[in-house]
Amino acid sequence: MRYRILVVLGWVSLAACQKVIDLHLNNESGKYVIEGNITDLPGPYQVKVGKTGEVNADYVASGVSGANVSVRDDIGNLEVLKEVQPGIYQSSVLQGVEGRTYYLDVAVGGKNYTASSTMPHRVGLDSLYIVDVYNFSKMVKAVVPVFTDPAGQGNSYRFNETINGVLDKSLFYQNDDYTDGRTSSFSLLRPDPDSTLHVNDKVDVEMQCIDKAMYKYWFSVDQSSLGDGGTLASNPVTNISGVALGYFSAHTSQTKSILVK
Amino acid sequence: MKVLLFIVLSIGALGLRAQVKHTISGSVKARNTGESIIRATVIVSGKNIGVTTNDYGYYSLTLPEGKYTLQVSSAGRRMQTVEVDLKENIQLTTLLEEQGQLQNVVVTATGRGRSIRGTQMGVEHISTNEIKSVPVLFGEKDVLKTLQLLPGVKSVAEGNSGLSVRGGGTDQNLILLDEAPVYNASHLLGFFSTFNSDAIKDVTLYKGNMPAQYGGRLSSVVDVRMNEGNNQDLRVTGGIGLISAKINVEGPIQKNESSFLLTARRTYVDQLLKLSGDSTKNKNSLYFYDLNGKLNFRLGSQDRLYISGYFGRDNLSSADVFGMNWGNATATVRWNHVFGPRLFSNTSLIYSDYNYKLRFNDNSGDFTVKSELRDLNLKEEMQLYLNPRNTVRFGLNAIYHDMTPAVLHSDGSSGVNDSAWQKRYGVENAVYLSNDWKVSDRVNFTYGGRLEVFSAVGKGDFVNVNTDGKVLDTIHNGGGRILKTYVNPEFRAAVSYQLDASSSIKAAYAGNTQNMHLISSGGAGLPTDRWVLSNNMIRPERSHQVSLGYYKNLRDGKYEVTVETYYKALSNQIDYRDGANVLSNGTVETELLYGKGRAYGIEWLLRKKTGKLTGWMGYTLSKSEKQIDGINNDQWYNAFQDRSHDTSVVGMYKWSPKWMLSASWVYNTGNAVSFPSGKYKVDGRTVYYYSRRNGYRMPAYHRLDLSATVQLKQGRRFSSELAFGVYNAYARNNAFIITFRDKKDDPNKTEAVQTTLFSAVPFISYNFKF
Repeated sequence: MRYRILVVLGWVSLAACQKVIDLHLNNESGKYVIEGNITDLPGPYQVKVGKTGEVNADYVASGVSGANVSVRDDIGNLEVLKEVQPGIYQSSVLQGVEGRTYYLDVAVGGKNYTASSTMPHRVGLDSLYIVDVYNFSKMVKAVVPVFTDPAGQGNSYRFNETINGVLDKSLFYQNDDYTDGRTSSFSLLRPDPDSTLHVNDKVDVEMQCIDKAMYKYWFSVDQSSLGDGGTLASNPVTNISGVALGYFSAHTSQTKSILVK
Repeated sequence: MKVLLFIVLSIGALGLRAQVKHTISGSVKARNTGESIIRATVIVSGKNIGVTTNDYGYYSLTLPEGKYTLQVSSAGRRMQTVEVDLKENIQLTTLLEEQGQLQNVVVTATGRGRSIRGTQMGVEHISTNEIKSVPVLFGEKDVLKTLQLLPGVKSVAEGNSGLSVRGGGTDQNLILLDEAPVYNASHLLGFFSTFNSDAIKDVTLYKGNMPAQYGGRLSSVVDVRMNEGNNQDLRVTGGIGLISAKINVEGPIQKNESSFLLTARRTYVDQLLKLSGDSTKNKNSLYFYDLNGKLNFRLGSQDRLYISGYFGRDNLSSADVFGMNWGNATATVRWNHVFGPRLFSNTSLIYSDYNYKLRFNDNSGDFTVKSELRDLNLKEEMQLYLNPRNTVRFGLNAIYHDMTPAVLHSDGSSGVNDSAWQKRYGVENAVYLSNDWKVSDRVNFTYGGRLEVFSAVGKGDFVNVNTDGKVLDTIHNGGGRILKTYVNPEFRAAVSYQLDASSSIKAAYAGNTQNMHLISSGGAGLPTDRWVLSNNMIRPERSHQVSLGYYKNLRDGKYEVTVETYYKALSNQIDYRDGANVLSNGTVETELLYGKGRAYGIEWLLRKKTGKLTGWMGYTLSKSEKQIDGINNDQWYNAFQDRSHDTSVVGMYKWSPKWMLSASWVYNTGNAVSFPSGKYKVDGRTVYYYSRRNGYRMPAYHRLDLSATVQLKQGRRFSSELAFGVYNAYARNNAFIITFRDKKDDPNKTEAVQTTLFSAVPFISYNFKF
């Protein structure tokens, strides 16, 4: 969706104009949102339990206190997470390990929500480099993460780009459907046609190896839940059972940095 | 076939009487060009008997021995009277002159008082005159955009040539160019249609109640016929506009016997981009071109051969990063044969191809994605003019579909593997029969049916999928084997009752089946949207439409009022699962959901057909909904193309012999759209919460377009004109899309942003003829 609108707008931008408008929306706030991450880095890990807010209102982190949150793995380790701030539940002993499956149980508001996620084996992020590349109608600088996908299909990846300490909100994810066993050199090209890296920017790239369900989650967030105005707008495909928004992801994490020259 | 013939002959027997009868048969043509005239009427003076010429200008009329006066007429042409002393079968070619020299009078193609007679409902004819006069975006005269100004026909997006007919999807229209299906009828992502109006003779739109000879799509048929080429004189016409240039050459190969036509068009938006001086824009390209060609030969008195073709290509690229080109190619060979004075046959062999190619760069190398869809199509149709009260049409149609969904190829240095999605094949066969029966002076009845037999065939792996989208098992189908066959009978019936000399009521029913489905992301559509065939999981889409209408001619046919209402029930409608990814692998079946749809509405149309001022006003009140388990909590929801109110006013005014002014104004309710009902954050990103599918509305859309045409030179040898105008004259900021984003300086706040594609856009073009 995002891609398509960009194509159309990119080409017709000769005439297109934009303005901010007032819209009356029927807000249905108060839906549960659960967000949990387990990585192969040392803990603690956090699970956040919150609620949706109104579109027109300021975003307020509306943490939900008093939930029962526990995480266990497939070899019998179990930890009940402690609420450290309203709505933020934290582990103290759990250590994420590649290849293990993790199970999340959240009891809140009289309902139970469960999810599982398997941490894939780590694929090494080899290096980063900067390219000059056309982004629709402008020459921009972008970072390329280089890594080699292991043979055998089923690997999925996600990248977070932090520029001068500020997380860029673009979503970057890919899988090996068409690139199995190959060295990847796709640039992290941000969808905003005006965005570019600048000389002397410090760029941190976090690479995550995620499971298939989380690939589907990020894909569906990007395709239909970012407010792009497409006809496919819908909630993302979550891996949490019970009717809740959000996700539970066990993934590997590694970060490399580069200075733009 | 034998059964068909038997039925035909039995019906024929009804018409046999002892009286001695003879047949007048022949064709009606334009005197100045030799072009055959479609839908010309031949009326027996003093009797309430008449016949209409077919798509090749042919007609046949069987009458008792005697003397008759025939009145041959066609809209925009002077009526010709022919005296006939009928003692034996005779052949007659009638040449009609253009009415009113040099366009002093503008007459639309819909003849006087025509539409109240026949049984056909929900049909619209657009004349080349109307296409030429109605102002459109960039001044590029356009068939499909002119159709969008009629009730029941909607544009899917601003400036887009995609059609939604009576609440149907864009893929539910059968768009034919000289009988060849055109799979992607748009250029430049929808801003232009593939039809170059200079090459077009006639356009007929059937809004659902199509005659039995058409099938394969649920919503409509757009039957576009190309000119044959002037068989009298060599003619060159052309035009130069802001966006495109075109040329049309036609003439006799052998006078009166054979002719040719060649039309070419090319846009040059990218040339303008190059002039813009912005160095980065120079790296982009954006253009299309298309060619139409046609040859026709008379082979003796009983045979005619037509060969026509179309080739069009779009090209869009952004430096060396991304490229995309796509286009259609069609070829049609048709052979008309007159078996006897009462039996007309047409055999068509049709080839149709649509393909696209994408090119990407991944910073290491290039890779390409290719996709192709090919049809080979054989049609045989017979028209039997039994007697003045019965005309029977029967025929068969066999289509072979050959689809290559995607082939991915790397240049070796890119990080992408070569791969291909499996090919898919299908065979679509149909036989049909219908009879036009003039029951009495007041009642006409058309009835018939069509049997659609579709088979998914050929080598491939087909999955069975459960309701959660999980693959249960895989069927390995061998080459040359049938995977699945669907047999669908479709009944068609239409009746008209003439209330008095100037008004009638009509009712009709039609069943339709569709075996080619476009898996589109909805909305305007992309060249890469994927066509799929029915198979073990994807079942044929079906529709049943009933309609009722009232037709009235006012003031001696100067005005015409039409009111039609319809209800359409649809089944096996296809939509995406939430979060569907159709590009991730070749198996699209895991990403789809199936359900039903319904569409209903009422359409009013008032036309003024003669005089200095011509045009129409149309208003449609309608609803289009879907219900698919797995979407919108299994509840009914508005289809994307649902709009309650749709209004259009089109006026063309012949100011003086030199000046022609025209204006069109449209107003419609915004499309149904899904806006968020909440927001939350995951991993630092704002994500929106949606509670209902298409539960909101885009703002209402309205727009005024103006244009003027002035004759510069008007001579026998050379004439020229200048056309200019403005699209969206009062610069209304219509919403193309509305998006939501974090406010730049305060990311905790959300802002809704409306994008408008076109403000007021002026246009000018120069056209010549010699």
